[in-house]
Amino acid sequence: MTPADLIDSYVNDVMRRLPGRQRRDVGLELRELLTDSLLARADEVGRAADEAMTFDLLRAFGAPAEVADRYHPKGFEIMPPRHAPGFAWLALGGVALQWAASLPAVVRGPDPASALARWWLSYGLGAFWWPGFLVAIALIAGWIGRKAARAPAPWKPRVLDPDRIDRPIWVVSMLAAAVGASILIALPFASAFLPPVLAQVFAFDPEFLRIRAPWALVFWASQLVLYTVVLRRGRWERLTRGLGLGSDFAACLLLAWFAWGGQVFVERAADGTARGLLGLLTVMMALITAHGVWREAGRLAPQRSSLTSR
Amino acid sequence: MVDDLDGGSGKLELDLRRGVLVLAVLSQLRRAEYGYSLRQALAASGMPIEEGTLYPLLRRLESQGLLASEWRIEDGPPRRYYTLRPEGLSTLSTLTASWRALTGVVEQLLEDDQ
Repeated sequence: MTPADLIDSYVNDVMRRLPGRQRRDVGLELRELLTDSLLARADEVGRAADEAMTFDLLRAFGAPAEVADRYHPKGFEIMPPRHAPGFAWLALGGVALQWAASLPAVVRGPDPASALARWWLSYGLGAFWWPGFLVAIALIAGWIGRKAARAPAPWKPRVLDPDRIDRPIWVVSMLAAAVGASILIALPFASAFLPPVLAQVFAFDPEFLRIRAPWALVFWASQLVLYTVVLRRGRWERLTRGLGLGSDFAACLLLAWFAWGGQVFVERAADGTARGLLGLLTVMMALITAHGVWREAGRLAPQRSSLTSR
Repeated sequence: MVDDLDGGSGKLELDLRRGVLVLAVLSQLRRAEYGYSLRQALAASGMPIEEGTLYPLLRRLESQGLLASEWRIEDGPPRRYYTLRPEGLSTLSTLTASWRALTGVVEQLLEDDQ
């Protein structure tokens, strides 16, 4: 190939990667530049440009794809960098969770090898709907963010004392929790007052009522004591925060025991649904507990007031 | 380790040069130049610039309304000539003032350090 052919071939390779409207213009300009540069090189060494010299020039100029990239407008940001690690965890965690939920049945089946192939083509690959969904949401949110871009508001502390509680809201929350717990406690005794169909659906498994359910009472009683102490103090303190984390951990264990420790309801469909929900609650509670531990580990010790002692 | 340091300082120097590239290019376009002649002029003044960087930069400055361009044929192949638009001239004077202030400050900082 002659040097001119080589340059034309290279320029064509760049051009086919460019948007149509600037393809011809950039191509002409690039060819002009490369030809000038080659002639300058040839002048420097005192001989006519040849194939090797042209190759050297084009390799130094860069791969056509890289050159074309430089002509493309700068891309846009899907999300601020501060959200990227959380996004990655959420996307991959969602895939892992779906795999964890669907794989055990495959392994336990009669023909794991072919079941695995079927699983991969259904739930395995299907789980990637979640990252795709998140990316689509991020793109839409990014687009809205760019449209409504404005300077961030000046920083203000959200809560002056993050451990302080709002007593009225606390009391209402405790009352709501007490009502919820009372309904659950009353459920085994309410079957006499329910229509026969509902009574059959919500009939608790006797073994569940005898062995596991009483621990829920112990747990709720301990929570009542803890939250009453916090209410009286008006704030979380080191000890109550530690007890709160312990209580969250106990809730995880209790929920897991309820979900996977045997039947809750006698009726199969009701039992399956209830235990599925309990399993979901266990995972949520585990995440809440892990977040609590992480936040507690990252707390700064209170500042000994070097600012106010002067 | 030494290589890492060299690589790191090389990249920092590249960033530093990249920062002043726009000013350098604008300063040379008070009169019309085509890409290759501009590159030669910059290299002759001690500011070599890769071909692959210069052309996309010229297009970007043109799309920002700072440069105007036209194809001309002057005893040779057709060439695209770039020159400053009034907006480019005003940007050049703003950037020049900023550059002078900045170099003054940095010079002072470097002297204080010695």
